[in-house]
Amino acid sequence: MKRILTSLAIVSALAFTSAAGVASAQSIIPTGQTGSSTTGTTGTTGPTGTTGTTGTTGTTGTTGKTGSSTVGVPNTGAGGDAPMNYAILATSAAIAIAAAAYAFRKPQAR
Amino acid sequence: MNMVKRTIAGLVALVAAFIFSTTLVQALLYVPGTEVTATNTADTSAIEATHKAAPNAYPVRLIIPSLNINANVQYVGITAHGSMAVPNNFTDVGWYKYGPVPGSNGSAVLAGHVDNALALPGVFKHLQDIQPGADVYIEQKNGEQLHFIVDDVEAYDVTDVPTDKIFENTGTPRLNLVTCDGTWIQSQHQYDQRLVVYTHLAS
Repeated sequence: MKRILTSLAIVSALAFTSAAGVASAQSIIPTGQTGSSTTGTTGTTGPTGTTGTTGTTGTTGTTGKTGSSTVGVPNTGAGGDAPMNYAILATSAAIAIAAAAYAFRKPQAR
Repeated sequence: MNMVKRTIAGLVALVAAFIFSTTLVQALLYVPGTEVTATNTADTSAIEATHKAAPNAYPVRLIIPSLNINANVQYVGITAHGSMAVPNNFTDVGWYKYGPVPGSNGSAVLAGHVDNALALPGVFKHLQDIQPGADVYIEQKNGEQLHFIVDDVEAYDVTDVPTDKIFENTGTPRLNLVTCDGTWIQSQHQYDQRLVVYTHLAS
């Protein structure tokens, strides 16, 4: 029973690791990303104060990143993920074989 | 009790087998970046006009005799990050379909993988071995072959790639081949360099 619980814990950890690996694989930092070219709005001058109060000048908008018309270079490799993938494959295969062998073993003769 | 243990062991085996198969499939088929419709790239109207005028000139195969490469050509666009998309497998190359057609004015760009997520070699694994003067051929839809000659091979830091030069839409007909190079950056899931082979049309 203890062995099975240990196997379950390992499989859960594997599932979590695998999911985390997939999630991180999606968050690729872009290279040569096309910049957005939104220009900040220029601040408006505040209303001139009545009854002797002088209006304040609004905040001056900041200019956004200059847009680029060129596409970024492609990401054409994934080999760095190989050690993690091989580790997951080896561990999950070992657990699957061991658990299957236990599940389908012949009853011991008394 | 024994039956319960066996049932649990069977479930563990199933879950482990599922993890094994999904990891294997993802490693073999994973392609960085999902392609999207181009909306924020350069004005491609002139390029599109060229494409419409010469649909039979679209590339179908890339042949590099000195590297034993004879690869199918896919047509790729851009990713959500604004980068050139890549082929959906590790044996084909991708032609940037929003750029010039190979053989027309400007730089046509073809990209190929250097390896996959199991570190198995991709189509451009040995691209760095190509030498200036080497022959590169593009087979077109109409069956004709274009002959390009390698001018230069350059490796750039990923933060310092001259994209304007690589993706240039004007000038004499050129073909640029791009792949990854350098050291793996785990946090970014990419290599830290890009290898670019510059060629010009010979015939």
